[in-house]
Amino acid sequence: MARASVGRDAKPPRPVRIGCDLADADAVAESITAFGERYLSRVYSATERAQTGEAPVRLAARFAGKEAVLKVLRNSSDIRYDEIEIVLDADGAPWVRLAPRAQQRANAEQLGPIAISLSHERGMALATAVAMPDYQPLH
Amino acid sequence: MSEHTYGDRLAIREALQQFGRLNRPVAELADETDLFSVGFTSHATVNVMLAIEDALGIEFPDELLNRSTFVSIEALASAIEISRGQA
Repeated sequence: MARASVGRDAKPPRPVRIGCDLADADAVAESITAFGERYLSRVYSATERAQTGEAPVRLAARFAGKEAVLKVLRNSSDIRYDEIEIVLDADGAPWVRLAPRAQQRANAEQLGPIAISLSHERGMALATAVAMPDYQPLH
Repeated sequence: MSEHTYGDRLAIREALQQFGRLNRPVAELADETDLFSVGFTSHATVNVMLAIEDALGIEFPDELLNRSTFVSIEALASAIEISRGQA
């Protein structure tokens, strides 16, 4: 049986992009107490605020999600937090919605849709984001 | 160092002391110290930015809201100067 081989000049497939982050709900609560609306509006979208009820631990999960997505995008230090939204679908599952500039960065990196998972326990929130590289959309 | 710059750096250090959650006293840090190497987190950058805005009556423009702005006291002082220039 012939074995698949990779030529010396063949480009190896790029690995899956993965990013994770951890955020502290106490830090979010402190921010809300200290800066209120200014903090909330600079970091979170109206949808994120509505879907979390502005509960610190849920906002912390969104913050961790944004950071996880930034790690997946790489070279993204100029992308702002409000350009990455972590929103819930009709089934309550989180997904990532990118503003045009962030989406352009994902497209430039040839990334497919970014999947996200959130969790929280004892005041700490965790997020993991994953995207496939070399993505070819089906037409 | 101008009086303005001195006041800016004082405001930066106070904001870091109050909201930076650093693992070293701010007084021990040089202006060039990498703040992320002493426990600065991405979430804490937001608080420090807002505290500096309050203290100095400025607003950081969107294009400065990135990691490189917050890497050191020196970098923050430069960002404040740029923010004033755009006001």
